[in-house]
Amino acid sequence: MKNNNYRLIIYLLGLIFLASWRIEAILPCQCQENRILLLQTPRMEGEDVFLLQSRLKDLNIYRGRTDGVYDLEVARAVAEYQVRQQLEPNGVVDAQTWELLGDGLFPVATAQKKQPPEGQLKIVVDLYKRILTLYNDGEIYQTYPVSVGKVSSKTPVGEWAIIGKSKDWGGGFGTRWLGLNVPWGIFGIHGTNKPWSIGQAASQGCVRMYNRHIEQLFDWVPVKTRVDIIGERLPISVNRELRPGQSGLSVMQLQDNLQQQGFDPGYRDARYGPTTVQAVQELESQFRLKVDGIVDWNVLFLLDLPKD
Amino acid sequence: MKRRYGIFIIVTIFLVSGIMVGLVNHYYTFPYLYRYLIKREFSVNPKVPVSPTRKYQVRIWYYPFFRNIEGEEEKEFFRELARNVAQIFPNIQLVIREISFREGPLILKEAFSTGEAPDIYLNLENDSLHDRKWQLPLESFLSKEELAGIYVWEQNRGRKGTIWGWPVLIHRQFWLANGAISLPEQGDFFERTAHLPKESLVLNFADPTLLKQLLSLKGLNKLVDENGKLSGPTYSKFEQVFVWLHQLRQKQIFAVPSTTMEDLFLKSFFSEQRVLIGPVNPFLERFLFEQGKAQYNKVYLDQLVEVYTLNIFRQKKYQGDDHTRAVLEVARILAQNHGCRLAEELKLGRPLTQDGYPFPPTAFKRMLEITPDNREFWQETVIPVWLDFWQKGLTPQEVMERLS
Repeated sequence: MKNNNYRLIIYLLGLIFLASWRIEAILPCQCQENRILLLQTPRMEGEDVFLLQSRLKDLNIYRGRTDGVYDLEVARAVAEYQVRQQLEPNGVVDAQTWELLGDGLFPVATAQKKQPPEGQLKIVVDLYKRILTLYNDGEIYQTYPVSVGKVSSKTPVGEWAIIGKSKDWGGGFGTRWLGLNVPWGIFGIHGTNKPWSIGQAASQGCVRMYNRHIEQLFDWVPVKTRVDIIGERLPISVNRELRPGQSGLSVMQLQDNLQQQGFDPGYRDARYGPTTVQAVQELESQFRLKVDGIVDWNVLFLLDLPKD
Repeated sequence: MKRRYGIFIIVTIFLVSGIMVGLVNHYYTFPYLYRYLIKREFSVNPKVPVSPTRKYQVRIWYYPFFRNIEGEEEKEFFRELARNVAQIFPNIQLVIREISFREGPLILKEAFSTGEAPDIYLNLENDSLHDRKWQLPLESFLSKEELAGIYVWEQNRGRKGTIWGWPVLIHRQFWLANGAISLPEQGDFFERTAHLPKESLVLNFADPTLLKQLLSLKGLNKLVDENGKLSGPTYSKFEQVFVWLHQLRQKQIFAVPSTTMEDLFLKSFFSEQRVLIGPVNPFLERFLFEQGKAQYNKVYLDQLVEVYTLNIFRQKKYQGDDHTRAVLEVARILAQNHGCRLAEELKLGRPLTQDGYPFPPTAFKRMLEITPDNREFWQETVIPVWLDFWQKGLTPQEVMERLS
């Protein structure tokens, strides 16, 4: 009987592990609902605890280390904060406490009230400055501070497009969601329930905005609006043939190198589509190679893609 | 008295004739008058000058020879050309268009079909004649100094001595080895390459230049006879080339399987294996030398050269002889003042007599040209057979059966 229980537990743990791995694989952006933080043994650790400590420090309630460990000192600071907010001082950071920690307690760059733009729209996210700029017919129309991906989960640099809009995601995604066509995962521009993280490299790869900002942007930008994300991307080596229809980081590197050498691959969206095919064919024609639009070894070498 | 009167009349006739000829020659040329009045065909009077009161637009099409992200260098190249033109002809405006290597030949063909070809075409192919109807011959516009200053005019003459392109750049043909390769320095190319060791040669057969090179090295300078077929001597030269290639294949001289050799062209070159690759076009040459490997060795294909020219076209709606003169003046400035910048960028030579070469310029041999008369035969018959020779392993006999 005991053995059966163990087996069942192991089986369930295995399922949970597989399920969590699967979610990790298809949802690189983990800006979901916050977990509840409380004092327990072993101590809770993580990015959310780190952000909580930073926020409590900003509020001059917490003076300990910002090490991402939920210890007694953090629990005391949380209780003190709860007293201030007339909540039950139990030291547990639940949904209500999370909400109050962020909402309206500190200055938020407000979105100026403006008429909806009527021209050709384009969004540019500058990962260095952590600013999102909306362009209307090539002119700056509005800028917003944003939170971008951490070092370990960088926001995907490239030339994307909005492929979906949603109001129903909730939790860590805030009040609005603008999905991007990044081929290797689900990334988007969204609101947040951790507004103090705006301006920091704190997300799992998505672009976070204040809720009131994303609500404004959401109403203005239609699906298919172009989104350029500017930032650093380390070059990768490509040591295999690439063919039309493929997507991913290797294709992104191909598009980067084509552009650097003066061939126009279209949007650098990591998709080996018709414009990238044309750029490869142009290179093949210029060098008098077989013109088939396939990145074979000749093209790989001409674009300096293999690094070893 | 009567005789004196007769002499006077004869002298007068001669004088009047002389004055008439002088006057006619001042405004026209006799070849122009012959074509225009006797043969009744289109002809341009080269004596018509650029009018200072008329505004001209000269359209130039070019391939992206600098090739960088913003195309800024090319823009600057043409801005400078426009400045130089404006100094002499302030009433000439340049309209520049970049065409892609992928679509360029097709775009040009379509332009011929609608009669909207550019005025000047910066041609980066060896073939200088594209269309007999819209392309303008240049010989009547050239001065004696110009004819003397460029040595490939003679090699550049087509049927009936016509000059179809203004030579700007010259590319001496070579193959490239990625290390020391022991070939005799002197002698016929085919004899020299007989010394190649096993698995040492990689040829990019996707580039038809390769076949042109080999045919030219065998002495072929005209593809087909007047009937559009392979004549006896031409047939023989084709056969010799295919037999030679087949022997290389049998002796396993090729470093990779010959059926897919063109795909592994550069991979072989950058491998540890010592190989000789060919053909090498100017862009590939520039790329390979920018890799900075000092041990690359050129194996010259005797004195074979490609010549890149400026080609001049007229349009369906002819804009007048003075416009043609304006186009020629722009071409002259482009060739003479800016040719060196192009040569420098593409690491090519200039076909100028004053430039030093290791042997007399007249010894250069221009590569076989494909003309409108035989282009269809080349593209529809020769090239498919050529590709099948490699990809399907045809024997020389099978090739020659299909060619004849």
